[in-house]
Amino acid sequence: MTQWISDDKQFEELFLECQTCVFIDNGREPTSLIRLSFDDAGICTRSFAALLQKLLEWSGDTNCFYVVLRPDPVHYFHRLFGKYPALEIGSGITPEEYLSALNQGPEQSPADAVGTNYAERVIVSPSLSWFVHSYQSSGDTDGHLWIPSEWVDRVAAIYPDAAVVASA
Amino acid sequence: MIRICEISIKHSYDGAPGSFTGKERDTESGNDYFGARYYASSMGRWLSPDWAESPSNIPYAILSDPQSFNLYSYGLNNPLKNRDFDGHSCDPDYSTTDKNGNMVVHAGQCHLDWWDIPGHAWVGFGNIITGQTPKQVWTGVKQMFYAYSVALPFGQIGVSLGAADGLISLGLEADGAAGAAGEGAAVEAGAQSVDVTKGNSVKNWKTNASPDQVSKTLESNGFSKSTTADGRIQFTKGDTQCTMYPKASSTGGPSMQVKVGGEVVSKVRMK
Repeated sequence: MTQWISDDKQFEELFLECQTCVFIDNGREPTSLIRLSFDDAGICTRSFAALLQKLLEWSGDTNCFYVVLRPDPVHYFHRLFGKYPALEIGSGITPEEYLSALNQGPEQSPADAVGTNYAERVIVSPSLSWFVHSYQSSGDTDGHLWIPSEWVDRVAAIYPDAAVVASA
Repeated sequence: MIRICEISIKHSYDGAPGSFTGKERDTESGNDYFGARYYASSMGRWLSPDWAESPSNIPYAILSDPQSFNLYSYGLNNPLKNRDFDGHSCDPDYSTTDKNGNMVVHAGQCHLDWWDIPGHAWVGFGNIITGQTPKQVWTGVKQMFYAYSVALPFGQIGVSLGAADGLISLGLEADGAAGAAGEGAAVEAGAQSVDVTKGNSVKNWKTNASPDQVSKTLESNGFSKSTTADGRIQFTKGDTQCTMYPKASSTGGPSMQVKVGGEVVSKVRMK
């Protein structure tokens, strides 16, 4: 199941969690997680959808949230479309459902789909035991997956693109 | 009580409004006088921090733009687009959407226009401030860039260049086809594209084609064009989508993502 977030309070809490993720990724907050780098474009692929499901399974989360932080979620997206650029992604969805949700734009502007119009995005789970932070990039290392160290080999086996450890 | 003291400074002024954005230059120090502060063009920084008449921890701070927290930077650190016309930091441009869904760009207080720059060589551009389509605005931005790039090296001399020269300086000369239609669009088939894929990543291409060339190629191959309210351009044909990103975080240059069936299959770095 995937669904848009339109509740102000829920998004506010989610946004704060995303900010924490950004701070961790930027080295402004300590963490025990390990960072793997991958091509940010990979987030919109079937293989990444499969990885997400595995991450949910390992962390015991029943869902995670895909949030676009730039363009501005409030002053741009919510102002224009009345909802936030955030999707709840449930465990058990197929890669096709995942891709469809990311490419489902607001009716008025399909090109504003959250999987298309983004400069910075976060995927965060309620347990905060793992997260993804990425910048839109033409390079291949601007997607950052933060996971517990014991998951590194498992992730590498499922998603070889993220096998290179950039920093701890 | 806070008392604002006005201090009259007698400065030796070279008499020609030909310094940075046409402000007065002090011939002894080489600094430009903007009213509220002096600007050191040699360092690209203000000589003193910004100040405001009313007490404020960070004068003129814009919470959504961290660049505004730097009290010594000029034009929110983007002198290509902004100016601090009176020596204080000021509001940047902003955009709204009209009732027809078109983006309307409004000039902020510090908007820099091509006619603000001394030595600009370009005449006849329309006003890019309000009421124009994204394409017109984008064209204006490119023209503004051109005016600025000419102004910097030649100072006040002024150079007369025609439209054709301007296009060449912007790298828009036709130096090879951008590619053909179909999957991977357009660019994978480009005459001078290089595969720069690393590891297991999605295909990464580097091409010497410009976004304009790629756009034209896509449109001529039947892709329909749509634009988001913030100016992002997308081309669609069947289940193939090509999305332009004007400034990638890694290279700072334009790039494009190609999706087929909703899945990213390749990325293209453009000139």
